[in-house]
Amino acid sequence: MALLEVRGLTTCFFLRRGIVQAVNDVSFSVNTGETLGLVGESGSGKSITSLSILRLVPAPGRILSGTVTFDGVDLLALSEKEMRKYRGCQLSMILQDPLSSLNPVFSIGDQVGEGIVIHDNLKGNQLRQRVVKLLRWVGIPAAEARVDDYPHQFSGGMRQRVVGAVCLACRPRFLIADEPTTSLDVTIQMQYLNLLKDIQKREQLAMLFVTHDFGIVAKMCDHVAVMYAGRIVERAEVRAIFDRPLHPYTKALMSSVPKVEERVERLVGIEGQPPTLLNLPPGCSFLPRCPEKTAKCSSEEFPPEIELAGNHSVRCWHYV
Amino acid sequence: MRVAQRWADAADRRAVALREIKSELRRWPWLAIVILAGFLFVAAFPGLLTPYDAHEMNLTDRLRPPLAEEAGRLYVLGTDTLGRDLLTRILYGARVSLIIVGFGLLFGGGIGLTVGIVSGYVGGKLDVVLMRLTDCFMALPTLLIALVFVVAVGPGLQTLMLAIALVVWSRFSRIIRSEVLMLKQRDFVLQAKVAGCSSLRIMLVHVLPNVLNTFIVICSLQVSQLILAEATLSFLGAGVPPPTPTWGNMVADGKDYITSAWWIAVFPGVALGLVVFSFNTLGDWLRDRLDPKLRQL
Repeated sequence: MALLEVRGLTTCFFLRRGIVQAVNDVSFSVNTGETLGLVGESGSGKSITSLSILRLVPAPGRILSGTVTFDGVDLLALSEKEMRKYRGCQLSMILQDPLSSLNPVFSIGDQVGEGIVIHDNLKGNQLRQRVVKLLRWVGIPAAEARVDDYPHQFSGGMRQRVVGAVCLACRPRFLIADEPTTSLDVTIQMQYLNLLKDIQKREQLAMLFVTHDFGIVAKMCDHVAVMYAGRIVERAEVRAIFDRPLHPYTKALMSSVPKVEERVERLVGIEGQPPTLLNLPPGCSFLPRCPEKTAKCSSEEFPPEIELAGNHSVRCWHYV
Repeated sequence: MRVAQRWADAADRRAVALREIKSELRRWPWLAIVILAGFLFVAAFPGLLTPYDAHEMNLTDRLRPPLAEEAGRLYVLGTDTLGRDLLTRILYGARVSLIIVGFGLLFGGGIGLTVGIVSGYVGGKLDVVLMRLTDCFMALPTLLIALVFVVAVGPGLQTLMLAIALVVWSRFSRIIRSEVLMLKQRDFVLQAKVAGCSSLRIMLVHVLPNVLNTFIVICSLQVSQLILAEATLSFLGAGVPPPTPTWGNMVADGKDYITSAWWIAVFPGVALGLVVFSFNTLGDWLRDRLDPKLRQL
């Protein structure tokens, strides 16, 4: 059985102008030691999906339906107090921006230790030793000397490592990484991804990796889910996505990534804009931009999920 | 050789550090700091600076001008209508001002800080209610409600402190709230939630320390207003009742004699002016140093 199983998750934002369906009937599962990549453009609902799992959707958003089952427990049915015991302890999340996800007025040691104080109630020397160990673990040089330094005294890459230590402090079993490397430069990205991968292997972490970078997907993920306008439109193992993308959107995404072996004069973009999620019309939401649209695509319904060989599923009328 | 080099480096670094400290110190508002240090010292130990008692009357020595000498007693700043030494009364009056300001800020500032953080962080209906309450208090003329409160409850030091706290909290809560609204959007608050912190813990541990510099700035800017409010209330007879000396009631006592014995009203007034000026200067400087974005305050 999968460690984390999301079924039919729907999260909406109730605005005065209407309803924004940020996450729409999303289902996926992540096994222990595996990584699921969640790929999509900005605004396709990736971040809200991860926040929904932790039940931290900001107001006026609400989770309307679906289940999030973690290790047999339905997280959506827990009380807020019980949920807090899961956050940080069993499930954790690395946010995008290491610059602002650390509190400027506390030393990094205090921040790494906070989760340990809340969940494991350690104090004094024991706490400090564990914090130093964690910092060494994420590769902070001279961790002993730097525990009492403040976030502004670290570089971006080091800060993101500290954030990693904060998130991993209580040894969670499931980690969400929401574009953890977007604000880092490429060489540092590489180091950081290697570190995450190492930690994952050692801890048998299940990971949900939110990104829009197929290069990172290829490196980090075992499975991929492609999101478009709040829905997962294609799901497959990572090899299958690269070898045989099915959904026109996935194909378009792939072709807009430069390849090393081919010389391209111009990169192909996807025509048009992603739809606004406000009062989304029924039917396939990629239709207006789809280069492969046919007569049967203009159905009033969203295409159902079609299971194909090799655990590959897609939501497109072409395959019905 | 290398040791010598290291020594030279260390000396260099020390010289640079020293120069930095010096240029930093040159920018401090020293006049205000000296006046305030004097004020604090006087308020804490008025007895050390004068041999006389603030309540001791010498009816034979009424209305003596400054530097008058009577029967072996030197009245540096003269005496008032009851023959009490003016300097002594000013020194003891400083204590009243300090107590009022201290408790006013402690209660008023504390309430304002709490209301601001809760209102900003929790948001929703509670925010609306608390902010409308703040609006009410900001709309009412400060002195008028303090006056009404004191008259209704009866004058006294405690009443005065309460009245001032009642009036001053709204100045804090509005600004602190806006700061909190900004802070709660920051990722570290979300990260704290992810780590499993409760709302109470986030407010106390993550938000509060981040608004403290703003709090200090508002405090320093409110101090002079509080001193003036106390003086005004005392002047109007709604403050600390006599014979306890306060700068406000001393000015009030002196106003009837301003043509014949100017010193009774003038010297407490000067003391008041100096302290208020110093707090304002210090407040402006602190604001610029700690929180440049509050420049419009």
